[in-house]
Amino acid sequence: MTVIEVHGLHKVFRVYRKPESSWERLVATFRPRAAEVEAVKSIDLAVERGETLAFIGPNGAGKSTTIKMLTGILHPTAGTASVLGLTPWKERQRLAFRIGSVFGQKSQLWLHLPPVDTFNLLARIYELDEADYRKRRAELVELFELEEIMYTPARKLSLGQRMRCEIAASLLHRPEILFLDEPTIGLDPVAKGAIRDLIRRANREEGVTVFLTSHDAGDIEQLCRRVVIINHGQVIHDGSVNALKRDYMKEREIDLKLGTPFDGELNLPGVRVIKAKGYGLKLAVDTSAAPIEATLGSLLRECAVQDIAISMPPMERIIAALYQGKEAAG
Amino acid sequence: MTASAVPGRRFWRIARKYAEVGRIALRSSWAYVWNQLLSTLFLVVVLYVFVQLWRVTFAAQGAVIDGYTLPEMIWYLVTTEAIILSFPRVHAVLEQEVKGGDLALRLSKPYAYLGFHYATFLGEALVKLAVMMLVGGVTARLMVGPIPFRWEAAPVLLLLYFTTHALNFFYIAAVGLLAFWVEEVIGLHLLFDKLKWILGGMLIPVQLYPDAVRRLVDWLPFRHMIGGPAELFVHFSWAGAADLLLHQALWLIVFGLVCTGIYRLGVRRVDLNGG
Repeated sequence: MTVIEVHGLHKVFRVYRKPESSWERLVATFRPRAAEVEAVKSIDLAVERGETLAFIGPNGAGKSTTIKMLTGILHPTAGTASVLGLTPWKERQRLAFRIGSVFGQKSQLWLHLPPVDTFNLLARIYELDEADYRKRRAELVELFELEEIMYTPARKLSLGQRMRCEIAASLLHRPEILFLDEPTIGLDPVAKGAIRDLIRRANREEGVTVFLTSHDAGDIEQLCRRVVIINHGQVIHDGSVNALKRDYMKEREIDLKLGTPFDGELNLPGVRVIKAKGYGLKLAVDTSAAPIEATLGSLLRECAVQDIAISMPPMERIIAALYQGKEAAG
Repeated sequence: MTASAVPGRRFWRIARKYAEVGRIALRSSWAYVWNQLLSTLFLVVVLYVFVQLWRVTFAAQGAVIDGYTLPEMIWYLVTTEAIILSFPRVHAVLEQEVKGGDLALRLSKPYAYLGFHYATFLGEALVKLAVMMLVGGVTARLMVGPIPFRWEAAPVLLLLYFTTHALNFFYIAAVGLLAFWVEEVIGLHLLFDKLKWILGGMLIPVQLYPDAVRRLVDWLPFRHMIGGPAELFVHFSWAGAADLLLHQALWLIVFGLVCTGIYRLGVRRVDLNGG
């Protein structure tokens, strides 16, 4: 069953330019100079119930604008969208009862009050029955391991603890779709892992459709089965995460700090030197040519490694590779 | 899971929703109660200055000026100052939400945006009002003594505070929501706020204004937003309370329609670009 259906969704923003001189400011009072920015250009998309979809792209690609149109916050300039059979910007409040949203950079918790107060407030806002709410809250507190922090003022919680509360709060009314806008932003790797695990469980155990935007390739790889890549307001890729991993996310970057300066000799399969300067060495490893464990083992044996960090290539590089691949194919 | 379709039950669920928003805002505001007590120092200074000025005026004019004795005049001032100083910075919060993107968070929830903010600011204002009335009342009592207070009128006065707050809320929220169109609303807010203070009888009751100004004030809403409730606090009458409630209800319809209109037009053109 299709829960999100989008046709030709388009959003143009008017950006007003600030005049420099006093005369220009006076003129602009009566005739403001506005430039039009096409944030989203004719997007078509369909999402099935229970899917976990990563909606990704670089900064300014139009991800958040699309999410805001799908949740009824923004009115589109053109196009149609149906979310759970409702037109979001016309039936915002009705839709809000059936969806949940987490904006990684905005908090719905009341900072000076403990999370339990925000939960109580949300129960009233979503008009939940008291008994049903108490049962649901107990479930989420157990699932998200919130017992110890439910009565601590939100301002005293760590970012990871706050995000656990945010996601639990957004699931309180049993939404059918969960919109997550950068839910792991600013979190350490342990907290990221915990948040991903919770989102995965909400999807698997409760059948919640997950619509996620993130800059973190790890979120996409570990959470989603389908990925839609958007750039300059247009969909440039729509396919499975497995295919994307196979074709474009197979590289890992390894940052090394060595005990002796790098001598320029490194002969390992699938390993390419990105940068070498003094004691620092940055490598790109093609994991399809050699497993990462084997490469790491060889590096530890052959080099005097003092420190090591492994990361996914940034989203911008994946998109650049994707463009190159399409151009080569075309 | 969602509300029942029975209209009566639905109404109570909606009423409880906004009541809970107000209650949570009140609790959150309570966290700052000591800061608010400190901020009342300004009120004490204002009262001290005005007590000195009015003492001289009453000494020259007689014991009663246009129906007000010295203690009544000071208690009137305590009430108008408590109404004004307890009112939160609605315009600044709304402007920040429109410009800063927190509007997205608000609009993702199933409540009316203006209803949510009315309840939030009422919760905050009640804490401030209690603090202002406490400190202002103690100061006035020490400086000029008490005035007779009709305790049976207290529930009506509390109801009048809710309607006064609503009137002030829609008036200032309309200014704050102009942030959908203009870069800064602070200038507009200053203009509208000072107009309200001057024509609403913030410092002296409007009965003391010249006839021409008083006639003008009668046609405007400002007296019902500040001076009217303070006059009733000092000189309570059931007829006066009914008259004030009627006028407030009429102006609430006007301000409510204007504010809702601005919101509906503005929210269609909201530009929350980026995350």
